[in-house]
Amino acid sequence: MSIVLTNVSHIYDSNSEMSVKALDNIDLTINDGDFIGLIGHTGSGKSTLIQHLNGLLKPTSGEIIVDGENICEKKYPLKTLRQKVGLVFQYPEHQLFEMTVLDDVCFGPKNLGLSSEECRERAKKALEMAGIAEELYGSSPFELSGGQKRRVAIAGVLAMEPKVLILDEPTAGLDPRGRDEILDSISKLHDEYGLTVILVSHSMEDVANYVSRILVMNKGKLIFDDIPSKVFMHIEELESVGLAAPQMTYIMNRLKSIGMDVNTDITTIGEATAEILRALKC
Amino acid sequence: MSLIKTDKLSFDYKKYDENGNIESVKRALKDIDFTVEQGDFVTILGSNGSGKSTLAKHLNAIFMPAEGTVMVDGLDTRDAANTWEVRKRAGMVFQNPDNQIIGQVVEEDVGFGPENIGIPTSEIWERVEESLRVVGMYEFRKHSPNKLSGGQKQRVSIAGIIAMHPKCIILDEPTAMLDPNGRKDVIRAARALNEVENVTVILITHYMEEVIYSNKVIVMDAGEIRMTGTPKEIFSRADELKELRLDVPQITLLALNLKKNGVDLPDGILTIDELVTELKKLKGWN
Repeated sequence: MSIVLTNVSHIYDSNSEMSVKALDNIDLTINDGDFIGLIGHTGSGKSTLIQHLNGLLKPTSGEIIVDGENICEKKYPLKTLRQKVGLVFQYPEHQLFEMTVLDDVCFGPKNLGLSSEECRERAKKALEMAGIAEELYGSSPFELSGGQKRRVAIAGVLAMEPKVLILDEPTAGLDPRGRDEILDSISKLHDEYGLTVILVSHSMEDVANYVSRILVMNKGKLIFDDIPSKVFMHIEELESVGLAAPQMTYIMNRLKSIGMDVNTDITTIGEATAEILRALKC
Repeated sequence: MSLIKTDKLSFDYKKYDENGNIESVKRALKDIDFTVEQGDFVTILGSNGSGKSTLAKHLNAIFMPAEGTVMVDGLDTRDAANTWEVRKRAGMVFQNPDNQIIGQVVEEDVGFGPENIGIPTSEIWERVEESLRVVGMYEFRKHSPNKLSGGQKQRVSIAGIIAMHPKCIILDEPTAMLDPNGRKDVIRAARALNEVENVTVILITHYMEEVIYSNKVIVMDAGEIRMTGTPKEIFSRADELKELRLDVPQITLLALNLKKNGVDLPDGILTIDELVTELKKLKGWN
């Protein structure tokens, strides 16, 4: 399932003097099976963009084609779209409310009108995908750790069986291990379960470690769309829009500047280790 | 006299049933002995649920110890008569920039604290100006806070605390919700406060890179202090940190990886500069 945006603009308060162009002529194709990192400083338009992908916002101009259908048309069933494109908000655990983990994850499928048996099946599968152990199904979501709660909330979206999963800063506030565990689970959703994943993140290191394509937004425009090593070569442009490169990229640039014969298109610790070892042997 | 001193501090979270009877008790802090000197920059690390925020909330009398004592500038936080004096000395900034700002205009928000503690009007404005300058937000003094970015809001929150002229500021994950620039600016403001104004800073964070500016680090786990030391000492114990769900900075990890592959590097490398210097030595470049 692909998502194609053509000339999409979105203006908040378009009729008033306070109007803000939050998306400015976005052309973008999200392919089936992509693992995308979406980065940009606060207010760059990331959230506005992702809310267009599941129909929470409609473009002021331009069109969005999902699975061959124009979702901007009045007759397009948004409920179907929201099943196909799941959106996990920031701090999704704040939205947990049921008495047990399993009931909470059943809430979405129940709203689709599925039988309670089907709901439970779906919920169990979703919890497994999100990495929640079966012993916890009967627990109160409020007794879980921060990372576990967040997984339950992600499972709630997975239970809708989306093809595309968008996560808005899924690691915010988690400890380093919790961060790695959530990112590993998300990576598994992509690699093993074949979901198209869009990860909104403020951590250049996380993005570099996991995704295969990066979108960079600034002032409502898409300024880069490329593989991580290529995007992060533009250190100055990234800094000028309030972002940065991963620390490994900075190190390699520093080493090169002092005369070490190293490549600088490096973004992860693994790559940096190999490259420095290679250069030291020369 | 230490600025902050806890002595065998313990604290319980109690769960009540519908009739108000105690259903269960969870010990969140166990026998914490923790000392902060005036001018320290202390970082508290620990996994989610390890007790960091619970400890922090004891340092400005939001929580009272179940057992043991907390002394702030010689004042016992258990004594209700001290509460306001304690809070004047130790102010707190929280994680979510949107929950802490109440003013319609930046300078009004910053003036709210000093006004509440009865500072004369003319002095309030002096303090507001000075505080906004320290955090680099003076040019935004006439702006509406809701038009600011997360990092700017956090700096306004910090200015609101320092306008009360505290001896100590406690930052509880102030950068968790910010983009890279916002994080940098908030940490820069905290360092300026500490280095220039000699305000004691206590920082709680999950970003290991933010730890390197502190002179003292404590690592918490399950309500107890597990490690204490300088950043270099703490980050030389990478394996133990990982067991406690923590990590070391990226640079430190790279140096460790290189070391495992036979490169002769010392432990606890924390900055790019240190790594570059060491690699230069190896290459025989000076």
